[in-house]
Amino acid sequence: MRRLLIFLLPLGSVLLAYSIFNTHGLGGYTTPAEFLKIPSRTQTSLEVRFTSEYVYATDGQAGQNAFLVRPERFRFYVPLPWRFGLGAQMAQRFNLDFYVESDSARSADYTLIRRVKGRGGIEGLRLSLDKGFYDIAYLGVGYERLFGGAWERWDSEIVELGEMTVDSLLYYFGGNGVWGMAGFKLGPLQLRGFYGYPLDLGVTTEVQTSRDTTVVDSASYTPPAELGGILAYSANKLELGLAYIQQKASDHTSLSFITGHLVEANAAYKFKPFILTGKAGWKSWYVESADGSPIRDTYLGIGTRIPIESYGYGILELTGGLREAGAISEYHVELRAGLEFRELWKKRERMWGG
Amino acid sequence: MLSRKSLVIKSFSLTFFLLLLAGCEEGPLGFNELGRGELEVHHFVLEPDTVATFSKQIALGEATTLIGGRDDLTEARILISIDGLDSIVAFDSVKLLLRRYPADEIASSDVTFSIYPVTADWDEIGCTWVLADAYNKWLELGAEFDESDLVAELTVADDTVEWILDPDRLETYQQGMILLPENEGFCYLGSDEKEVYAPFILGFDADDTTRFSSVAGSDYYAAVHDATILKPYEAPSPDTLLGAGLAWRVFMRFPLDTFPQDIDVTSADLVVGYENFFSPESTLDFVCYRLIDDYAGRFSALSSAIAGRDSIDVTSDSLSVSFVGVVQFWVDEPDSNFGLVLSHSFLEAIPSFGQEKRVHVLGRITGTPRLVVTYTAVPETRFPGEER
Repeated sequence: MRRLLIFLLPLGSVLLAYSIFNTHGLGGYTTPAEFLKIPSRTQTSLEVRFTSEYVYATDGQAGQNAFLVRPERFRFYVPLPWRFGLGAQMAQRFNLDFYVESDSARSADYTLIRRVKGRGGIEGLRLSLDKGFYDIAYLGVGYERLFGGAWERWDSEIVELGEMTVDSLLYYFGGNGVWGMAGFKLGPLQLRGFYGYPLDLGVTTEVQTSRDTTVVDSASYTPPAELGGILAYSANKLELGLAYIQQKASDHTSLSFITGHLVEANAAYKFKPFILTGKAGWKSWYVESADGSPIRDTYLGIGTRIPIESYGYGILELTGGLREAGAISEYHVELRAGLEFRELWKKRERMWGG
Repeated sequence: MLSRKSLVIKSFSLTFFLLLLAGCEEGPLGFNELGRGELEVHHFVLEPDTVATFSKQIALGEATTLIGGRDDLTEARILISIDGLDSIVAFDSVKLLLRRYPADEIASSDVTFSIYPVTADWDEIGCTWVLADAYNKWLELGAEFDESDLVAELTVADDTVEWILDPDRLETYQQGMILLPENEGFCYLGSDEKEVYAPFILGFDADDTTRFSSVAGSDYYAAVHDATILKPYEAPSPDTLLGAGLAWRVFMRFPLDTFPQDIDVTSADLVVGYENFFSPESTLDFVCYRLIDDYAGRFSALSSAIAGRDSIDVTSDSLSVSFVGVVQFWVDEPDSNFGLVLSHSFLEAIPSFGQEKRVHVLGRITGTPRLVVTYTAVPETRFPGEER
């Protein structure tokens, strides 16, 4: 029953997050799990995470706040014979959830207010195969299928007429990507390098106006490539990690990509019966704000991993940070909750097989 | 004493619910970050590139109202025939009772009619007048009568009008009679289609009063058929007449070619100056259709879907009909802009709109009709392709 729930939870996903800066480029970028931490390659694992996010955005004069919930990640890894490993991951790669509202604009004796709500994003289904060599090195390759859709609802209110028009822009995404990684383990030290190479991402746009007119448009973009590495140290009670990711843009279309950076430090300390975790990160987005300012995000997080007997861990994490560009600042707080099952299937096999 | 595990779980739960309580608040922020979607309302006042008036004869057989009367522009005549009535000889006297609409429903004038026998067969549904023009010849049914043979004179001055029938005129009654108005003004009588005010026949003898039945085969059978026909006339002036009965309609077409294609029309009001000549009611109902093919006078093909309606007081000097949906349709599909037709709705035979009364109304358009349009631009796509 628990396994069934784990599989069903992501299917019922309500893919919501929230940032005004998601209006830029392909949306808010989410890092794949294997580019941030180095998980065990010797244990079967299944991980499901959800995020609840609170954001307060302000430009110093007006403010918005929102609280939304979304699934963050579903990840599965199973070791295979001959030091092979097979991984699958489902996560949202680019998030397009936002809400913006215009000031009252006067023209031709009329006052217009526009409210735009965006929902959806670009999902990534990632499959990987890796091969270890003498327990000290490994190589891995992966394929990613990008898919998903987003919806923008534009409400335009003309105050004097009491009229409201509603237009919808529907986007459908489809694309592919590949990546490779290599890692070494030297005693308590681990090092991983990776490079994600995106192929074209196709976007089909449908415009539905208040009168049900539909215009279909199509475009193609190349998402930024991802390259970087992770350095991890593991001792008896302490684990430390440092990850760096660069988003290297090669697309020169209207989306105006720039090179993005992410640095995140992680720590975990075994404090029986829990594992306490902490992290600190800094992210510079792969797109700029409307006034050309860099979008930067600094965050800190603490959490814990609670052992669940015979199954794995429950995960709780609280992160807070500041995302800002130009005059707009977003204070965000995320509460993550998840379950991580380890060797679950293996144990069951023992029970059934004797 | 709480365990550490319990303490951690409760702390996170408390934080979660505090965030939940924060709820969502949306304010004017961040629109500039979109970098698309102009904040402008476009406002245009258009004048038609074509205006024309045309008349359309609407058969008023089986209408609920019989219109009789005249003014200096129109003459409405009534046709009546009586099937059966063979048992008229069994009574001392027989009366046809016509009933006028009460004044609080439709204001009527006192009208005197001269009644003549018609000399041609006529059909209650399609009877009308003869008129030939460049397009076609109208139906002739019901128009011919013998003006040398005055059957009777009848003055409609009360809510019920009694007409004593002559047994020697039975053949005339069955063939039909035409009621010609002799003075200015209009009266409105209930027709056979109007149950409450339908005409009926009573037979009188020394002992009793018998009501004739319209059910064929009854002992005292008499069925009244009736219709209104409106005398055609040539338009007396280049006025853009707008009327009902002999339905005067106005065609106009507004050029929308200058509008961008991807827009949201937020309002589109047809504003027309109007001078009312005559109406028996205190309000005027207008209806606006769009043409679905090139303009062809009274043979123009109209969309069955009504584009806009408005009801104004008779003393109003202008009307405003909103048809934002049609203008949006025209903008989206420019080839469909064949123009529109404005008319009174009194004579529209559309039961679903409850057009129970059919009354004579006439007025004219003053000044130049205007189409007042506001629109906003459709949002640009976030991911523009090469086709846009």
